[in-house]
Amino acid sequence: MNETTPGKHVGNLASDYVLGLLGPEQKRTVSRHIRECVNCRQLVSAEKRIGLLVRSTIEATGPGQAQLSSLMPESPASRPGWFSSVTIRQQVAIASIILVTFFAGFNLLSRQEIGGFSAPMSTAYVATASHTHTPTSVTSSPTPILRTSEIAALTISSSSLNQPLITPAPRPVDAR
Amino acid sequence: MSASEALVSTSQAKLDYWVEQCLAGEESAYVEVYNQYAGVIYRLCFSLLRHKEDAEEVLQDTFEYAFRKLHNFDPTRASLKTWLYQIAVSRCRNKRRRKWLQTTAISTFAREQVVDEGAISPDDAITLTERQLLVWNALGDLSPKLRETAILRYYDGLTYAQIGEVLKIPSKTAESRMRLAHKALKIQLTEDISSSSDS
Repeated sequence: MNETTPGKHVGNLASDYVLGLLGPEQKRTVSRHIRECVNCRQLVSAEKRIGLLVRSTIEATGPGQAQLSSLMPESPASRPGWFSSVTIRQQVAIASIILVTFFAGFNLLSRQEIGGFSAPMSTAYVATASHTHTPTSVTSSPTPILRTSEIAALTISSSSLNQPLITPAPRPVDAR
Repeated sequence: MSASEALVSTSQAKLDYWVEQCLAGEESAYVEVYNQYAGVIYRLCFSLLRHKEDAEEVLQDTFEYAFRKLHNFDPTRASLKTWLYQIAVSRCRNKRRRKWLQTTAISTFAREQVVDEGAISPDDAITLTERQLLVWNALGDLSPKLRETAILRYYDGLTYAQIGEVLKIPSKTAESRMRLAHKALKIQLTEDISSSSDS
């Protein structure tokens, strides 16, 4: 029952009155009544006190101005003009391009150093089943390139120092 | 025009000027806006999250976002304060959700005693009186939805339409939540109020 007359007590309307939930007419009626009725005035002030207590409690938890100032984030105005006009996606794209360019340049430079300024690397050869040489380095080397047949000849000649590979054929036995 | 209306229109004109200056890249205008609202936003966040570090983090996050997106702010749709409240409440909800997930995961698997996040730290308790601590605990006992509504209404005196805008709910829902919150707080704080009336 929300109807109230100046003669009736406020009752349950006290909360709504304090919370500002009454219509203009009801609000006027309650205001008129609590001016005359002590009990209802106390009831309304008790309801109001809840809100005041909550407000004062929340107020008391606040930090000082110094602490608040230290928490202020960087404003866009303190960044360079071009930075603030660029969106995050564009910033990420620019950063990616810079990174890729940097690593590509570094890689290229390191390759040039190997070929141009560092000591020449010796080229290793691996004899495979097909007898083709497999260089492990693609760089041009001042060392002479040997073919497989030449390696084989060198091997033969080195081993022939101790034991001759070609022994003279035995003399034919005279049939006579 | 009454004196209070003139004051409101003056402060509104000042705010509009600061927002314009911010958009023009004026550093001091950002400081003005921050100084104007940082206190209320922090208290809102701290009351909702009940954790000092989380409140500070959300405060910074709120203003960082607001400064970055200030060109999207439309003063015809909402006031700057309401807009900042919207951002802060949304971030508080996200924070609480993430924290809840972490706490649930830990308590499920480790079966450890979870620390009450609503408990106020000794440093903060120094600033509160005994009665304020009772009120703080009573606020903590409210559900997050009721707490949001109660804080916005009691602390800053927002209208139900504004509360509806901030919480993205109809104003009638805000009204009914406020009734429930007030009733719950009244039950919890009745003894405290009556004892303070006696003294």
